[in-house]
Amino acid sequence: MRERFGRSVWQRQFENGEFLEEECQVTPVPLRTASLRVVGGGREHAGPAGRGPNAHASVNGAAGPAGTAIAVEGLSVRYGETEALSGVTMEIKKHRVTAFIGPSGCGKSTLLRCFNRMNDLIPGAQVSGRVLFEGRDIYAPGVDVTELRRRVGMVFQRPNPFAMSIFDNVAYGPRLLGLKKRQVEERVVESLQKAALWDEVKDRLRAPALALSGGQQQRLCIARALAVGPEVLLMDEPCSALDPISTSRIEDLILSLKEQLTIVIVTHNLQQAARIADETAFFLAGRLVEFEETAILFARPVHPETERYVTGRFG
Amino acid sequence: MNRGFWRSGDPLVWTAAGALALCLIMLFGLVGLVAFRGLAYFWPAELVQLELADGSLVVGQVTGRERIPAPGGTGAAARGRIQLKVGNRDVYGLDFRWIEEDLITGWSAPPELAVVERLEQGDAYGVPVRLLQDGEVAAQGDEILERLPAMLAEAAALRRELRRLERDVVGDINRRIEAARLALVRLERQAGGGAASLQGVDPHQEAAARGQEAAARHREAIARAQAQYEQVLQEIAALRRQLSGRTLVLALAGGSELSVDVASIVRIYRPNAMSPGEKLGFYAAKLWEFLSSEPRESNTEGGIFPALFGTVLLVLIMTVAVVPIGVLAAVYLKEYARDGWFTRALWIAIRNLAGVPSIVFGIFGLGFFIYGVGGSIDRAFFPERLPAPTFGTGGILWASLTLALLTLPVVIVATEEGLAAVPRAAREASYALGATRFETVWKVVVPGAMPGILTGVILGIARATGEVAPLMMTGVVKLASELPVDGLFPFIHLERKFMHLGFFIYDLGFQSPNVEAARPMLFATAFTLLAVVLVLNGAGIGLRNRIRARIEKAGPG
Ligand SMILES: Nc1ncnc2c1ncn2[C@@H]1O[C@H](COP(=O)(O)OP(=O)(O)OP(=O)(O)O)[C@@H](O)[C@H]1O
Ligand SMILES: [Mg+2]
Repeated sequence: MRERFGRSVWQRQFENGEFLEEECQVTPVPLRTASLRVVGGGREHAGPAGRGPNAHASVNGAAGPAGTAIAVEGLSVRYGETEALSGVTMEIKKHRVTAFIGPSGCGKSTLLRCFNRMNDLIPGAQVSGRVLFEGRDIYAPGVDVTELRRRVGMVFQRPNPFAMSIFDNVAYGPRLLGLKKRQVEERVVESLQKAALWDEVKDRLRAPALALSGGQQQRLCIARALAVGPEVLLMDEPCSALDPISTSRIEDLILSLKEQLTIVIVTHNLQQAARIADETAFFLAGRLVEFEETAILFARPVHPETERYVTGRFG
Repeated sequence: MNRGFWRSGDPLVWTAAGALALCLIMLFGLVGLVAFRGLAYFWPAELVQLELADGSLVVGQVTGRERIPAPGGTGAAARGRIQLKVGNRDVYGLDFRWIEEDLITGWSAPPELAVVERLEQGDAYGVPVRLLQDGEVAAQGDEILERLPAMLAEAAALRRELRRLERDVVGDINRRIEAARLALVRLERQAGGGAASLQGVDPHQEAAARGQEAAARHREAIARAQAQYEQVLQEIAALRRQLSGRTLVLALAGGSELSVDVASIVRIYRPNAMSPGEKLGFYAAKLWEFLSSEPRESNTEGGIFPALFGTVLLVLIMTVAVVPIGVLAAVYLKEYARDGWFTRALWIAIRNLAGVPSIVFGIFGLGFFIYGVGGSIDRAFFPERLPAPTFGTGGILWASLTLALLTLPVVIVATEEGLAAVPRAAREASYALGATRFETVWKVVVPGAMPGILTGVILGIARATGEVAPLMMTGVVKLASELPVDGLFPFIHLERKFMHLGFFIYDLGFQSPNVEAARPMLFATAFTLLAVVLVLNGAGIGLRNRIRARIEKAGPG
């Protein structure tokens, strides 16, 4: 497994001609300084005016000198007896959209839920290996899980707005942060605008969120996640319960959001992965099979399983 | 029948529909009976004058009619008899008379017949003939009904004043005497304690001197209050004299006459001469009197206000007590406690607690709240009043807490169901936003469970409002002279005994000396109790629907 993974990484690095640059970021110290710089820039200059060089690189779809947001090292997860993930090692780059694909039950959601420790909530889930977020092991003792979850937000497969008003849904996170009333209002408006929902709901912010359509609810959930100011957004099949129009709106949204944050998305829709992801990881039975630039993974997969899956001949 | 018929499910559907129909018939039958008889109580019924075969005349209101079972066979023509409320208890001894229909030869409703509602001895029926003032004839015939209303208003005002003197002023004096007496007892105890450790040092003598001074002051206060009491007694006697002296003479059906003290008349009216509009006005006045005034004549007449008030207050205190405890307990058990055999056993216990007979809760309330908690409070805070108990006897607080205990399982179980109905996804969403468990539980889970919690509260209220047995051990009384809330500091007296609609009904139906006379009141009270349950429930359901509308699908709000 390790060997296979190594090969694919090597291949990508070779083709991009940036072997050295990638390599030196494995050492923790320069990584941390780099991350701080990028994060600071991203948060303070949210919006088009604040596009840094990294953002430009991502928009262009070409691999730029991006830092690592999340590094996974030999991660295994067991639910009681069943092993859901075994020995996954990978790096998620900043300001990129990374897609996880693979057949049902192969552990995509499990891996995603490791990134913000949502697996802690499942009794019997055991995690071994390391997940580094901004260079720090998030499973180390003493890590503040609530802070981690604020910085690594999540959007779920089914829209799950709270049974509250639209406003209160988005304001939930900012209120937890203890922001003042005016700041909360600003955050709500800003987040709804970012999530491209503002125009549809600005006249009925006090209406129950559950009265919105499915697609609107999902965008509300994205706005709710954005309102706490995350650096990474994890999306677990965010469009699987939606119609094509809502799906394409959310895809546009993802593309516009990647200027400000790192996005990891699980999807069963290969076209969707091809449309929006910069990089794609293919999983099979709890193992990471191939992790590659999306275009390359779809056009020239190295592994026969990957090829069979992306060409729809998986059986 | 062929197989197709059975497989179609039609027989089952018809059986189910039949069962529902049966339930509806019983429900509407019961409610309809109570509502009809309860509401008819306030309508001014016609006064009829019957001529009997032996030539005698009877006056009264028809209150019932039944078949006399024919003796010996089916051939005999069915005969009936009517129940007549003849009133004038002081003359006839009984209010009711059964008269066989065969014996009635004439039936009329003379407009001059009047109903005289009295404070005592029930209604009097007859024709007003003379109004006497100190033995002299003051008015006759129709003039009587013109002059009486002013007199009745005057008498009512005097009665109110009398009542104020007797209850409030004398009560106040009694309280002052009692307070001074208790202060004296306390001083004596202190002095006794001091004597035990007597050392003959100056400070002690000084204290003793101060104590004697205070004792003298208290004794003086008692003397003053007693003097005042004498004075009030004189005032009361004067008022009573003022009240007496006027007499209304009624001509009764048999030709005899009945003198009625005007001071004891509540109202007088001629039902046969009333127009429908007047009857409606009368109905409203009577209904209002029923709801707003106190009972008379061992609860068979007058109003039910203290019982209504006691019932509502009891349920409110119970709700205030049971909701926080029940919700907190359910939240802890469901959200925090680890799921083990102990938790599961606890759930089973709680569910079964709901099936424990309410009388058992009453006994527990008596033993634990009254003797245990109340007794301890008395010993700790009111030692000088002992052996007379303050909290160590039945009172509305203990009754409310007993009912709270009774409804606790209902609230806990409903809350648990409400919590379980909050989707996992909502909790995950909250955690994913960086909320702690505490924040998730109190900001997402409990608000989401609110409709379920309110359902529990509604069920609890419905159960508690109709509960009588546990109250009988924890402080309900047939007649309470004071409400648990009044203008006297500290305004809310939760240690007081109270009246309750359910107990009122029990008392009227089974303990009343004059069950026949009490029956209309019984139905009216039962109907009121139903209405209270309905109103309290309606309020709960309304609140629940509003919360639901706010959190669930609804129009723009
Ligand atoms: N809470 C759980 N308890 C026990 N086993 C679980 C739990 N969640 C997931 N699993 C198991 O872990 C494995 C991976 O599950 P996971 O949800 O990560 O798959 P997935 O790739 O997201 O699948 P899908 O595409 O269907 O969402 C599966 O075999 C699943 O049965
Ligand atoms: Mg999944």
